[in-house]
Amino acid sequence: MMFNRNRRIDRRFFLKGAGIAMALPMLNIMGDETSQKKAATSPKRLACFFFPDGVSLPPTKDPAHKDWNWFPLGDRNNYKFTKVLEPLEALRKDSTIISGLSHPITRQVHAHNTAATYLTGTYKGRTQKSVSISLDQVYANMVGRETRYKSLVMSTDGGVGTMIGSQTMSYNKDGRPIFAESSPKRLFYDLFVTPDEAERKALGTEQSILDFVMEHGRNLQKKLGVVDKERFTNYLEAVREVEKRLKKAEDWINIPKPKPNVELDPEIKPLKNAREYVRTMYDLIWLAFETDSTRTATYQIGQENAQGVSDYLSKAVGIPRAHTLTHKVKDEDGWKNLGTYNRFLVEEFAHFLNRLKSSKDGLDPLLDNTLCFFGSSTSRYHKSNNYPLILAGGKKMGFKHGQFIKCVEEESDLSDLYLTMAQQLGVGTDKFAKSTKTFSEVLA
Amino acid sequence: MYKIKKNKIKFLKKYSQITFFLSTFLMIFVLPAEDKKTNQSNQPKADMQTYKSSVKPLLEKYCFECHGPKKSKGELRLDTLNPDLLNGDDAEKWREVLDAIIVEDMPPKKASQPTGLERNTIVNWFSGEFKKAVESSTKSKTHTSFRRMTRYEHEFTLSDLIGVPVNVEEDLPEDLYSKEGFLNNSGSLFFSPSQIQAYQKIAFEALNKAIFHGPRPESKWYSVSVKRPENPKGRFTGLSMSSSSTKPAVPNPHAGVGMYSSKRGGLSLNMGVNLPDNGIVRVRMRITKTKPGKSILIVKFGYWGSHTRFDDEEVAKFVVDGPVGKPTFYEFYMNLRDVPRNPYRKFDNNAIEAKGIKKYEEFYVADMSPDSVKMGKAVSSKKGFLPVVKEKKKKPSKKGAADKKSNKKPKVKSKKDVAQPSSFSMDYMEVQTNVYDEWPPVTHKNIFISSANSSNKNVYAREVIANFMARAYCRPIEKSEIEEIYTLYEMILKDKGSFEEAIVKTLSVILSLPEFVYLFEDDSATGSDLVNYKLASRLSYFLWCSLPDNELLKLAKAGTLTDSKVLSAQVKRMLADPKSKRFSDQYAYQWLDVDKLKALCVDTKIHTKFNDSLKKSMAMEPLHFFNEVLKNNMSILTFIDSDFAMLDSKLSAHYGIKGFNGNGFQKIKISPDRHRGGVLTQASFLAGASDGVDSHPIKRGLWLLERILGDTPPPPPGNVQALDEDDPSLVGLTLKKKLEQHRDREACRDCHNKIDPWGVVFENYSAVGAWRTSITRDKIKKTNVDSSVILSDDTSLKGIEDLKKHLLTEKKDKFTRSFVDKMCSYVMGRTLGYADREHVDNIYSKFKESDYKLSDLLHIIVLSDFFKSK
Repeated sequence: MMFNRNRRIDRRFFLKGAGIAMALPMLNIMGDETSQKKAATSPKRLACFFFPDGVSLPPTKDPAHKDWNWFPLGDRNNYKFTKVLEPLEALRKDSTIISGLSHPITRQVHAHNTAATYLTGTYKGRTQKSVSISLDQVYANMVGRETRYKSLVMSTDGGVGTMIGSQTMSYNKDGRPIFAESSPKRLFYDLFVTPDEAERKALGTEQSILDFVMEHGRNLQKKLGVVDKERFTNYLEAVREVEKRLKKAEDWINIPKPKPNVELDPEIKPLKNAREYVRTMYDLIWLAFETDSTRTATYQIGQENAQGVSDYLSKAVGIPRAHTLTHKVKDEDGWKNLGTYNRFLVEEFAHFLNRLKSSKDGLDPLLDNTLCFFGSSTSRYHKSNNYPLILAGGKKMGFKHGQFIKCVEEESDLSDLYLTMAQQLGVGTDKFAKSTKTFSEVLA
Repeated sequence: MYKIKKNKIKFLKKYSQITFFLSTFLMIFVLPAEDKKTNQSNQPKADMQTYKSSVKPLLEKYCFECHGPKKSKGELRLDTLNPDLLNGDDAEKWREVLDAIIVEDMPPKKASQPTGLERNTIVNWFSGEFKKAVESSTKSKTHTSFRRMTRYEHEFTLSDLIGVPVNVEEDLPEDLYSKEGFLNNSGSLFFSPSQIQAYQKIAFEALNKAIFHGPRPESKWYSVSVKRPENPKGRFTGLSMSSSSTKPAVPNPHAGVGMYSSKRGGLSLNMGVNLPDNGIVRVRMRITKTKPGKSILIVKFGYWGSHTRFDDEEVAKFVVDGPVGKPTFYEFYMNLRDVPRNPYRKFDNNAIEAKGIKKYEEFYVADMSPDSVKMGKAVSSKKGFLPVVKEKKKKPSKKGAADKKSNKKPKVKSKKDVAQPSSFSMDYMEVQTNVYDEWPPVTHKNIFISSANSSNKNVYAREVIANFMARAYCRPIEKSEIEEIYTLYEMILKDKGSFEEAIVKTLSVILSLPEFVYLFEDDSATGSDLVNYKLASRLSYFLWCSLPDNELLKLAKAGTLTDSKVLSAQVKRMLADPKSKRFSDQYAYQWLDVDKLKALCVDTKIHTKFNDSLKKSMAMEPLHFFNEVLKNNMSILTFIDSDFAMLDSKLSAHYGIKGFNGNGFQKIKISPDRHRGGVLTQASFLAGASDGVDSHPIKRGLWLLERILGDTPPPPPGNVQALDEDDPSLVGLTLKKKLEQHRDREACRDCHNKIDPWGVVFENYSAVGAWRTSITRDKIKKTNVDSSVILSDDTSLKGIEDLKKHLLTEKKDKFTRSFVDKMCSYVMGRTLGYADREHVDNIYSKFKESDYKLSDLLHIIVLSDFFKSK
């Protein structure tokens, strides 16, 4: 059965806040173009995933090593997955495993504080200068205008979290966090449910209010002193950003939203059905790509340090709390338990890759036009080096797979890989964070 | 730009130590204002001629080698700085340079030194140029106090304005800390995408909470009559709660009724999920004294936020001192919006089951008399009183028997299981809901004001808007402003249809407009006469973190607030108001960087006694301490050392301080052998600046320099390898030795010589701030703590006592001056520049005269011209 949205409930949500605006900021829609341009060639997509607390890495001597070590055993072209990455076996030719990479700037930072760094490559702690733009937003800034939504920003815990305990992977060009959406229902609504009359009207009201605020602000700015005037620009920029967003929503309002051809239960809750929740979040990204509703998505599967509901996702494999596992690896079956949880995360990622692989984008599998990046900024218990990373898909963008690339720890910069990813996505840049080097090992 | 603090300190050091420069520099820098007036016709010009001929050559000779084309130590190059202080952009940097030269910090001792005359040439020229720059003022005004409210200010302001609790945490992102360590710095208060709409959403929700529809809600009464069994082993009777919609008849007092009490135990009244969302409740208890003397009765209200955490708040406290045996009623009122409500009370059971969360809320009544004896813990049952514990006599310990039963640790509970009769008993408790003095409540009437025109919606809408704007903007509103908002209202009304809905929506938009969101604009250009109103706002955002109250606004309206006597009286009144705790808490939290604790992950395998509730207490300690110093107008030197501490039971156990009795935080005398006192020995700092495994001298040293001495060392150069604990050459070394090796690397030495000793001196405190004399760690055998250090100026210190002495003597001026700098930066909500120095100097010298008393400092600042400046 197709999902049948209960409009009454949705409207309640809708009107509970300040109107449509509350539903929209989550889907960071931007850009000015009104037309739904279709690129001549297949569009390129980017999906990035993050999970907290690191992975199972038993020492070589430990009997658990051969079964539960995250990284495969063997060398670059001849490697054997352990039970953790086994779900990727059928996707071996579509994925690359990378070890040894990290962000130099956070190697000395407690791994629990690094989530905001993962996709930005920058870390300034809690001070004035925050992180800078995240990889997904670099790409979204380029292609965001082509689609209904500039990017999807999602996380299990939702919101933005704190600078050291980020609950979003995405940061805008000024390094400000972008709100992440945690509710499959709201995502589903925004992606696939065409607004009704009342909602259209509410959107109109919001626009008029924003116009009022903007004009009011501009008039006020004229009266300010030189220094204050400059400081005030920030306010106007923030208003303008919402205006653009509402404008875009209006531009798209008459274009019917696509109908997904799959069964989905948007009422799913992470605490009740952990696995199904994670899968639904992945599926929403897949559907968003398939329907070309957006080209960029991030999903932060969990928040660091056992904060929030995401820590209970381990219930999917019958384990009460995920983060505790990393502290108990030396207990009996400690590595196995952590490895089992890790395997669950990989299974769902593999499920996502398979979805993309079986969808067609023109003549090619959707996967070949979608670059997927999956990993954590922690290796073993609270160490922020040797990130466990998987790059998958994107063959049409020049990526080569079926490799296990072992980088020299502490010498390699993850931002090099990001630069290469950005370039292959077509972003004309020669710098990401502090990196100006590329990472050609992943290219064909 | 970023070492202004430090410079001021050095400037000060100059006051006390280098008398020669004192005279020349002071004369030039703090010079009279008459000059300004007489010279107004000729705009001051930069004297580049002298720079080229006599100053630059000296800089070339002594400075450029390290800060020039070849090297740029500390990321500073003098050859590329613009020496034109009037028109260039580098005046703040030159200020730093000049200060380093004045206090002879630079050139470094090893390098060749300029003669006194040469130094004087440099200092004189720069001082003169700075004076001109301050006067010409175009370039000196790079910092403005104009800023948006911080997240916490927004929350307080909305709560005060609308009269309902507001929580902005979910909707507004965290604010960032400025380099001075504060959240209210105009330069770091940015907007995030969607923030404007978040403002509207928060305001919309708060306004809807303040508005009441329909008839007055009916009261309900919940009561419990409890009878303690005569046989101590018997069951309590009458424990279930009855509810009624009329006032219940109160049963006759029971004979032999009673309750147990303790530090943690007491009687709980489980309210289930019966309490409404809003409104006042009246609570009555019938109490009978069982022992003579004064007893303390406290009532808490709260809920189990998780299986381990009870979130509650004390809602009433009584001194029970009537005659023994005579039942007496005690009653209090409680506003449900002021107490922690269980956020899960409306969840369905399935959703909260996973977290071990309980939906119910409860009152908790306990005997907090100083001599009350420890007893058991409340256990849950169905609604009604939860009897505390069964009375058990403590059995004489039989070691053998205990061991037989279990090989595991003996139960820690034993002590708590022993019940003792409390000093009073309670046999009846009653809770009445929906106690409203007036209907609709005042929050509603504050928005929908009573008016003769209330039936004429067009006129009434204008009145409602005008009234609300004046309250939100804290100043008189012009007619054009009202009209502008009225057009917005009309537009919204067209879409919404309902008068009330349109008004609420309109008001929520007002609360996102810059007039509300921003503070302290410089309106000198417009010449508007709002000095008094501006002053009221500045004062209340300083001491209350929120908008001015009616009294302040009344004085502003009368135009008398600028009068220093009135102002002084207001500061006194405001500090006595409970709202001043907001300032005290915020200031202490930000100044001492208590936030650091949040990021701390303690390895509980090593620090077995550490847990989250101890961490919570750690975070509270500096706040209580600061408040104590402020309330009693103590000297700020108390922050360096004190003979008391503000502790709760967890911290006193953690610090090994005996004599703690009772509940919550208390002022406790401490003996010197406990090695506590002041903020330097508080776990919030010691643990916050550790890595959770061991102490971290670099972090601690940096904290001391930044927070106490106002010095900000430059960040480490890029690509520096941090200390690798696993490096074979370092294995087996103590931390101190490791740091010495670290310092030996050329790139690190210069800075770390200045940082590390300030941290090593704290080595007697573990990663969680516990006192230690030896360290045992994985790779190191038990070693004695070595906390002796030699500072970069060759002073030797051994441990915390020496450090405190040193800070209180040699560094006294540096600390006190840094404190004033920080306070001024917080008050103004901005970074201070060289143009502010004269103001701060004046404040500092008055503060010194007052013997560094904290409350006096706040008065001095408020009465200064600085406070009224932009």
